[in-house]
Amino acid sequence: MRKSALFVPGNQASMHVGAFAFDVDAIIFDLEDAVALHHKDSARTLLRHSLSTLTMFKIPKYVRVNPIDSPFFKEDIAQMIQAPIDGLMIPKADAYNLLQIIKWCEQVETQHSKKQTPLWIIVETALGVETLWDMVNTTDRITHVLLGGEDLMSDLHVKQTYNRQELAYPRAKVAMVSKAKKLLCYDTPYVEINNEKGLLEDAIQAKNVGFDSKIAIHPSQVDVINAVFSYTEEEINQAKEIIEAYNQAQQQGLGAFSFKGKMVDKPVLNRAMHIINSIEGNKHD
Amino acid sequence: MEIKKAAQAGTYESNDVYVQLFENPNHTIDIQLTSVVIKQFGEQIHQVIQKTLKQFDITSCIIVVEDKGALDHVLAARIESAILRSLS
Repeated sequence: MRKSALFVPGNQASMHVGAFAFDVDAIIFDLEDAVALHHKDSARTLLRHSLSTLTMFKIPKYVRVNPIDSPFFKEDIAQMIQAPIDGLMIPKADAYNLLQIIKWCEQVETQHSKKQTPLWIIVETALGVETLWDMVNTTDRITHVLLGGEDLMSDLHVKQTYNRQELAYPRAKVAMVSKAKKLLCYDTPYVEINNEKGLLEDAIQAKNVGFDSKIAIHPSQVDVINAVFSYTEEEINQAKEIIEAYNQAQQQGLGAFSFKGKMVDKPVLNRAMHIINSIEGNKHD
Repeated sequence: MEIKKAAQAGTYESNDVYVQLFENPNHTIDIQLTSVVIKQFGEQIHQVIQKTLKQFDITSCIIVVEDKGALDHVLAARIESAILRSLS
């Protein structure tokens, strides 16, 4: 059971503290799209000070740096790796530029005697989608994968369709690869901030193909996303009943057993266990 | 070190601060502060300004600080940015 992760503009001082009031699994401070070109330097400095000061907040903190082909990338990495962060978010990642990104991270980490920085990669180019499997097998730094729909649509020269047809294949690929490697995967942000119904439908689509959660680009999106990616009371109760029925069946020496008229086999039991484990896991957060 | 080139950093948004640095012909530090919370935190804000300038060995400048309720670390960051821009 995952909650949303919230993007916060890197240069917006008021949000650096305010973001921690929301019920999210992670805060992602953004040095990329949310920061104007002439504020890149001051955003970086502000963020470094904020991260060093706001250590009392335990919600994991990530920083989205600028892409490797921008003039800001190296300085972003150099300064942010020194700050108390839980990881870096890397835009426009693909199997080819990832090697250079890791090399630069290693250089900075060695220079400052820092341990390996976890990476949250954004898959938002056709090359990124097609080389995702190679990426996740290149390094054990990657902990999260985010699908970046807007940039990907631009790369594909397509427009957003009503039922997000354009994302069907990339979503399936990101979810499948992430699950195969036991990485957390987050769906692309929904950019129509005032369209709650659209966000709800979009989040449900992502959940249905295997995403763990979805990124929020505005605090107003957090509750909708959290609700979609949480288990319902009914699902939780049913999971508990299935596990109880399984325990009874075990005592009676039965293999497969029926529950409310349906045969329960290992995959059904595993899903029930996953639901209960997720809830128990969250209790300890 | 003396500030020779004018520079600015920050915004006028709530919880932020706008900092401007100028050369000071008197070769001293001249702090010009306005703040929405000057009665409550004026002294503390002055201390942050002085401490940050000292960290960068700034001995001469006119610093204009227009505070909109920034926390200490935000003020320090904006002064640092202005100094780095001035020195670049």
